[in-house]
Amino acid sequence: MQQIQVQEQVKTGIVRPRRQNSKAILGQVQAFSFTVPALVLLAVFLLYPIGYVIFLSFQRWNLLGTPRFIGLENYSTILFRDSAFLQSVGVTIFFVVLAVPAQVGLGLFLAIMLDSEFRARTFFRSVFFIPLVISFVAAGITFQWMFSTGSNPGIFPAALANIGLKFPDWQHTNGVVAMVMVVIMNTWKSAGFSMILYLAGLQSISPDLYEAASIDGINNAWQRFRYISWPLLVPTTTLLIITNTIGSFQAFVPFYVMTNGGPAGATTTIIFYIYNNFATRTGVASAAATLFLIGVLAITAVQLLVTRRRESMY
Amino acid sequence: MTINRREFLKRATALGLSASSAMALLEACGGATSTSSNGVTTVNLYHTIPAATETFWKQTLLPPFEKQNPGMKLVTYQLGVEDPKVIRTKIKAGGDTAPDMAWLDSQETGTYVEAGLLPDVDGWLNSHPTIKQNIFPSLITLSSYKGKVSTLPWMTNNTAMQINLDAFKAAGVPIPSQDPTKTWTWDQFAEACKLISQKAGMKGFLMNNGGNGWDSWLFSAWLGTNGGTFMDASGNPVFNNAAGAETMTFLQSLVKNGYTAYSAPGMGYDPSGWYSGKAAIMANGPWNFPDLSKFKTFKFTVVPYPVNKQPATNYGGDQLFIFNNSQQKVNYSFDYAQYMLSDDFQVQFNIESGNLPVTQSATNNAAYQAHLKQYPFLYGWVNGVPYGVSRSSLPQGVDAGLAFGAKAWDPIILQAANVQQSLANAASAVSALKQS
Repeated sequence: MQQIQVQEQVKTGIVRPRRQNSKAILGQVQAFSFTVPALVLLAVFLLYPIGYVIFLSFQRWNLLGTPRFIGLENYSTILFRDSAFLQSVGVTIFFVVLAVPAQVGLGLFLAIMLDSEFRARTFFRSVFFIPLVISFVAAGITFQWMFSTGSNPGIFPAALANIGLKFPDWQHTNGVVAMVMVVIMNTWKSAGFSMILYLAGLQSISPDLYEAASIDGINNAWQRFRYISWPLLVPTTTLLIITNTIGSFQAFVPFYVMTNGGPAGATTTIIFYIYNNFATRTGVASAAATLFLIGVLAITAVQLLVTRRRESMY
Repeated sequence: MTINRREFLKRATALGLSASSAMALLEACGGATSTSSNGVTTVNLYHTIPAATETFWKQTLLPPFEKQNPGMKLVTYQLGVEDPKVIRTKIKAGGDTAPDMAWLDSQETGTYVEAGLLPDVDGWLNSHPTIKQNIFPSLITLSSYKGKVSTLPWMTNNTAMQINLDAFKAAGVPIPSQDPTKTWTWDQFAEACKLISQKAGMKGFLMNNGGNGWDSWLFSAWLGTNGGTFMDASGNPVFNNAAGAETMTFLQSLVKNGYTAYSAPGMGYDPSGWYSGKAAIMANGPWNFPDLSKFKTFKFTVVPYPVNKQPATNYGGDQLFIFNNSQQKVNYSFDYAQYMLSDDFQVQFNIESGNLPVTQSATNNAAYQAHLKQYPFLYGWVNGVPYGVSRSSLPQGVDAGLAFGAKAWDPIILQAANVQQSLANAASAVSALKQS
């Protein structure tokens, strides 16, 4: 009677035979083992450094000697005593607010232009993609030379001076224009990435949809874009906004090469602040890095929530 | 795809071995290092000696030393610009290329002493009284932290005003004396900048545009000429007072009046704006000698900082930091230090580099004196040595300079900010450093 009951349970899946159980566990172990190399790398190069930075944020240290526990002192320093940190937060947000829409917007514009049929389309696609493969250092130095307002003016300030106009002194006095110059270089350099993804997105939209829309009375280009292309590009836009936001928060090289954080700290981002302090005030830099990590995670989570909600609307 | 148990174990073993190899490789990257091979001890020396001088140093000065010390192989690493981040990171990372000696500025002394990284330099120097007595006393002070000599001076320098004599002539400005006690005043300096800007087709003064502590270093010299100092022995800022405000107001007025051109951002030490005739005066140091000695575009000389209350300049130069690695390496490093402080080295190195000897015998050496006579503009720096103001060797010294630059120099000089408020902000930032 009991044997019949067990056989029934096996049939219905309530109980599995022992042999099948161990096979399943072995399968799980096998599957897990394939992730071990990735997990080891993740632990060594991501989790351990993050944990160590958080640990250091509670220490007084300057890379030399032994760290000394000081509790929340470093957090207190950056939040209440060292105004340079809060200034760097504002600078970073300013950069992200300018850079992300510029990269995504220009990428979308270029993609729409280059999605249509015209001669030399491939050539222009290459032209707009080339900046992406140039190093930030080379691009930054080139921009700095071209727009230099120093004692040896660049080609554009010199040209303006020849017709009696003055290029804003972004290298010395005008912090807002300094930031704009970095954004221009960054956008020129990075918009090709957005363009490629948008192009892929546009080309994956079935022509049938446009045909169907045309039967329904949508005939002009703006309406086609507004009601067909744009909704179907939302996943691409989501991806681009998130990756560009994270990338912009982490931007360092453009500032290092073009402005060195100046003038007067106007382009000292959080990353630059961390860089400036990591060797001499490692604890302070670690506290800033920890807050930065939390901030970026929070912003990314909010972005995901908002954009997923928008995606589900379409 | 399914795999049997044997295949799975085989793959798992392979994975395990790969992971262990990777871990071993990672360990090797930062692991302990061998100090000798084939009986020769490798000693690493990090430096930022400019390229032209470096070639001379390596080809002319090192071979005799290496010949006398066959058991030691000196490996040099050129770092470009002196940056505490690079050397501290290398020390922390360890490995075969970690520094055993480094050429660093005296501001780093306190940090390295507190970290217990330096050997007993004081004891070594006391056991070599002839060497100690030969070093200028002011440089012994500069090399000390908490009353003990902790590093050894390699060469010294300061900044003074490089002036374009052609521009001075065109503007009808008299040439100031190279004697710091008889040289120009602040008012005469401002007048010179004004006349040159109006009549010589260039700006009067090449003003430093922020960054890297250069601004605070120059400020300490300007402040010194007005009777002030930057920081006290306890690390408290003492520039936020009448002398400091007057100094920064004076410098700001030069900018506001249109008598200045800016240096490239963060590169106040870069003389290209002066070489190219954008400005007639700039504060710079004798390390540009290799270029200056060949410079023919316009006539020039070097004169002291203008004086308001007393003559002053800023001490620079670089120290030999010996790191407390193996005893053998420390011993070899002291051998190098002894050679570095000899007349043979000091005279030749400083003639070539333009920097100033750290010993009295090298300064009085006939060959060095003949060199000064051949290049009389060098007196502008040499005469300033007795009036040098040292940078603080406290652990927060480097950051204090950077904080001053960010909170006071940049806002005042670049953005016409209120002087008193900016100095107060900088003083507050420097005070905060004591707590972090």
